[in-house]
Amino acid sequence: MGRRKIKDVHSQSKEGCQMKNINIDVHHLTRVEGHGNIVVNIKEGTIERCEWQIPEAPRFFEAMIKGRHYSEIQRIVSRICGICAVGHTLASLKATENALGVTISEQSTILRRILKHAENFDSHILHIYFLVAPDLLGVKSVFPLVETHKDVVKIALRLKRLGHEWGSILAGRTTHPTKCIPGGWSMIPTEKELKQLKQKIIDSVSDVEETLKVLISVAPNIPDFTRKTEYIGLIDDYEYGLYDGMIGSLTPDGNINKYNVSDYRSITNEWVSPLSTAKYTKHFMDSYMVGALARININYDRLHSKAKETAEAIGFKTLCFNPYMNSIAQFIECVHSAYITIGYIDQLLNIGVNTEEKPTKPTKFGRGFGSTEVPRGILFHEYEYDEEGFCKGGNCVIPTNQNHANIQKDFEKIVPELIKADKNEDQIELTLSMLVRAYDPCISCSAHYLDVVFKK
Amino acid sequence: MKYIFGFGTYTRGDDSIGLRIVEYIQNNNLETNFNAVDIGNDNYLFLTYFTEDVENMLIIDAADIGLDPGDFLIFSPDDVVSKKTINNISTHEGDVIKSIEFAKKLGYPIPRIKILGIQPKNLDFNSEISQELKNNFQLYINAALEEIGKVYKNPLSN
Repeated sequence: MGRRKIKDVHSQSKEGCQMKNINIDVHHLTRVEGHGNIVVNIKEGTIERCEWQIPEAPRFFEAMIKGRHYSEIQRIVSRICGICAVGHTLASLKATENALGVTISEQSTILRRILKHAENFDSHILHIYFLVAPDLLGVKSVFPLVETHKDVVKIALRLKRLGHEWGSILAGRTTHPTKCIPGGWSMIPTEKELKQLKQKIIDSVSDVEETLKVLISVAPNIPDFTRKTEYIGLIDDYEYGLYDGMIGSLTPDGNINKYNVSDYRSITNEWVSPLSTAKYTKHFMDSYMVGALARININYDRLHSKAKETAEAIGFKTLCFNPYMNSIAQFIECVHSAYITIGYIDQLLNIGVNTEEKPTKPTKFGRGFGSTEVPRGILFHEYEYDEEGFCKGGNCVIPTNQNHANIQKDFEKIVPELIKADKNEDQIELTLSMLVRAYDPCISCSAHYLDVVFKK
Repeated sequence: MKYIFGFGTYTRGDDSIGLRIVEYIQNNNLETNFNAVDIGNDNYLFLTYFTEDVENMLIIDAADIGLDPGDFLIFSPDDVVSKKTINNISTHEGDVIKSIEFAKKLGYPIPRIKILGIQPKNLDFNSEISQELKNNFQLYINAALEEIGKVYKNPLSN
């Protein structure tokens, strides 16, 4: 963890927490995707600073797509994220198809739904096992787990491979898919490939069951913290809100309001905070949360029965206002994705897979809106096309940005609680780091070229 | 099984060279007795390929190895020491050499591994690959296909 100028300055006063001096500067937080800083200064028990800071530079994707043909857009915006590439592709395609007056076939829709589940499964497994589990198992990274929990790491890698193959069979590749195009698919998977995928998922049931046992064993280490907030996520009449649907807002009183995707700007209400280069969002309250916990709180009744059984086994109950439980919600979604995908494959096999299906052509050119849930929450894309199909402009609102304000509000509630509980500096830092990681933030992308020296 | 793995990031100039080579191989149906896989920065995905049935891996990546931009070298991971310090493995934090060490610690079978390292010139955001790398692109393809096509006999087998 990148820490600067950490001082052990706990007061020895009898007043304890009231007189505590704390200086936390995590710069940058590790085991999240991208860069964010945690800064907390407490002087003689008074909180002077308590901040979740985002220092990333803007990336200008909305400028990059101007003047590009509609057939290229989803390929370009897929590059916004190496983990949520499927989600960006699908949200982009939905916005483009909305703008172009395109309705895709039932077969194409089901295949996209399966692909969306593949991405969620793949990303959630990575987050639960490799980014969150070290905290719950009391180590600083995944590396020590090789010595202490080798079998757990191997299960994680097998499930990770399943998630990758799940997406690759459908889309050519899971990261930056190639076969999803405006109007449908450039290539439809064969019945043989779908049967292979179904069998791979069935073969992984034992690994999923082992994961449940691991999570039940570490669940007591999940911090007990609640803060009532608003949850935003898709509500889909067809299934658990993930690929499609209307925007749903769940407030702490249990009320759910639904909105058209085209009204997304009235939900996100982006604004600029001096703490962040990323925009903040707010709706009914000062902040809202998106992601697996939001989705489950909004859509619990639509979960597959096996996923509900998993939730009960772990002791997860809605409405849940503990953001640390987002990782548990992610695993429940993994179970849902596995079983619902088997059902979708059976549905396709019963209908009969038409590998000759051609993409639907545009009927108009104008403005369009698309939304899908990515692992970290609800994602919005909007484009406008000229009469020749070239993009005049676009807007993308990603889920991690929508969570930043909620993380800040969580900080403002939990830090006084931690001080009151007389937690020391290291405990506060770990608790805040775990909180940010629970949101599974995906803040930007970076390069990973080899940097080596020869031995001789 | 034999694999060619492309590592890198599309949006960082020459860091995308491994991905572009894999893409070229796939698009031109050059996968004869091997599979070409776009790993990107997903080191966990790379780790899942350490299985009993894999005999040969060729990793293609931009590598700061002190050559002129565009020049390349094929070497073994055992020939080098990584200068990178990483706290964890993620899409934002990873290293091929350390991932191979991780696989060894997990007790996974380690096949013959070679790295085709290409000296980058430009790693700026949202940039294309440098002219030096474009000029040598076919050389990289030829070298990769020649390397993965080699037959290696296990010295321990009869």
